[in-house]
Amino acid sequence: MFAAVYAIFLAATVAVLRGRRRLAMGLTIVGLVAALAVFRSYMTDSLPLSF
Amino acid sequence: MAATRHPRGAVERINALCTIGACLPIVGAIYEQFAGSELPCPLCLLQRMAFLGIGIGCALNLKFGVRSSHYAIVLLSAMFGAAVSIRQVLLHIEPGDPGYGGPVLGIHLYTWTTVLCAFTITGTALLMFFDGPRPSAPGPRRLDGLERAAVWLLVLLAIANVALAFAMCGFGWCPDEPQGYWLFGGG
Repeated sequence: MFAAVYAIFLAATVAVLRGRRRLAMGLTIVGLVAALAVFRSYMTDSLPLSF
Repeated sequence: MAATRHPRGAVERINALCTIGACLPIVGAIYEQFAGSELPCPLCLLQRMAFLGIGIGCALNLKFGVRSSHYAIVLLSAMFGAAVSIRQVLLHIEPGDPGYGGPVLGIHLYTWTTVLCAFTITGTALLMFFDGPRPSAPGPRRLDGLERAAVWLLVLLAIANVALAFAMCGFGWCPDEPQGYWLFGGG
């Protein structure tokens, strides 16, 4: 799951290098939303929070 | 669209340094992961993502010219990093709690993240004062030495994090306190 979100950020960095601005920005926003969803899943009371 | 040359100003130089600056906490965290044998927790992995987002925002300024939408990426990433790190600070705020992992220069990595994200938000707001009218850049720029190094460092760190996250957690969720690498039979 985490690797998949990192892969989105990796795709965004490659898009920057290749000069694809809109794609890079879109992928970064999608990556942040995905990261927020992962963060949210670790905030639920049903999971032990002992980081 | 072909990359073109454009004059660089102080703001572009600062963005190149900020791209490298966003990479440094990730480099430090990976160093701690191997040299200190400290496996990152899920919240630690999310904080690395925030720094990647900050780096991408600065890299967009390098490649396409300074725009407020690029700073928005930096600010959103820094706010996400601050939210995650403050959450982790609060988890360990009880007196006597040793915290997660060892301290670096006296404070834990997640507390460093809180400090760095606060600096990033403040610094970005200050940089936006200088986001005045500029010569329009019709397309992507050709990166010079420092800028190219900064963006490539970001790409390499993103590759390293994909590999490390997959090695630790595979296709599933990461455990709260990882004990080993899923890929090598631990975890």
